[in-house]
Amino acid sequence: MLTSKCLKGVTTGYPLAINAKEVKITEIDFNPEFISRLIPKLDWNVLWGAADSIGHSEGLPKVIEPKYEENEEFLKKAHRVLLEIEIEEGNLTCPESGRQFPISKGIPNMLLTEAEVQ
Amino acid sequence: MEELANRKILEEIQLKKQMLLKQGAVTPLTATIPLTPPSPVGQLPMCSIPPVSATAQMMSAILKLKTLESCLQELNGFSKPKLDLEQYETPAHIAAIALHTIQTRYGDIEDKLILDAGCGTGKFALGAAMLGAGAVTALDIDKDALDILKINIEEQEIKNVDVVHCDFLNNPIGRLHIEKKLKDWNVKGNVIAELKFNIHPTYKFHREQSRDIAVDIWRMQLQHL
Repeated sequence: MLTSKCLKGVTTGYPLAINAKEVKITEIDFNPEFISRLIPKLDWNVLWGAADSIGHSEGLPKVIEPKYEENEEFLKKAHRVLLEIEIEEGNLTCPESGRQFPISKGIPNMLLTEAEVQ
Repeated sequence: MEELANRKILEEIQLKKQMLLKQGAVTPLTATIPLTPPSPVGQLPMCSIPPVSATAQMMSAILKLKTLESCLQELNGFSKPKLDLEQYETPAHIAAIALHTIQTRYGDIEDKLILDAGCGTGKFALGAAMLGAGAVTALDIDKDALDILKINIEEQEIKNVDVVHCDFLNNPIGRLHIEKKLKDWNVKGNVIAELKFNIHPTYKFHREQSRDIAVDIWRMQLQHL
């Protein structure tokens, strides 16, 4: 959901590429209603790509399954990639400028210097 | 000088409240917004919530107001508040009333996706999670505040709060400014509660012991075409 489009010369800045050095998995209570409502708001391709880039796409369908609201197995998989898998250490990279945003202790640092802002 | 500083604080708080209201999941157009009878919250001396129809129902919240307030009281606050970032601690009482009202009147927290822009040490972000938010994203420009937020997240064993260190464009806003912007964006907005924010002297230039600042909670909804 993050973008680097505030950077000078960058028009879309999405999706940021993920380079994960350390991934943490936290078990979070499964809330099917919440996940169901979230799915239509997602760019599933981007989500799948992000999961794949950190080695967590196994078993994750490439497209949103029809009647996903009733498909608990699918919702659980979405829940896992959306909420449970976290990048503890790594980088996000802007697809246009190559600018890197470090992730440290699970917090991505998206701050820019004044010279970088459009 | 002091007057100006206080105005800024007020605007800051208003912005925060709005962001809490502006979540991913918006009430669908077909749903009518349930009106609620004056809540017990409304009878507290520190705030006034406009009276509404007595025929409507309150929504439930997974925590009682008092419980939420005492949970928020346990959170760590700013160790060294920064004047340039206008950091003021939101009292647990105010944060609890604001969050509880948003949930019990509109059902806008439980199972919803919440953004807290300018989260500081996370009173609103964590309070929303305690009230059963589906997931919370908390943003702040100050790394020191986020470090304290991280400690709060761990101590409270809350798992669905994501933290992002970033600059959230902070426009000065007052009631008139908000009304104008809402018109520009075709967003419906109204004040759902007026609170008195009791500010304790955080910085040396505060000569008075403590001071009440008027705070509005706004509810905003996108107008679907």
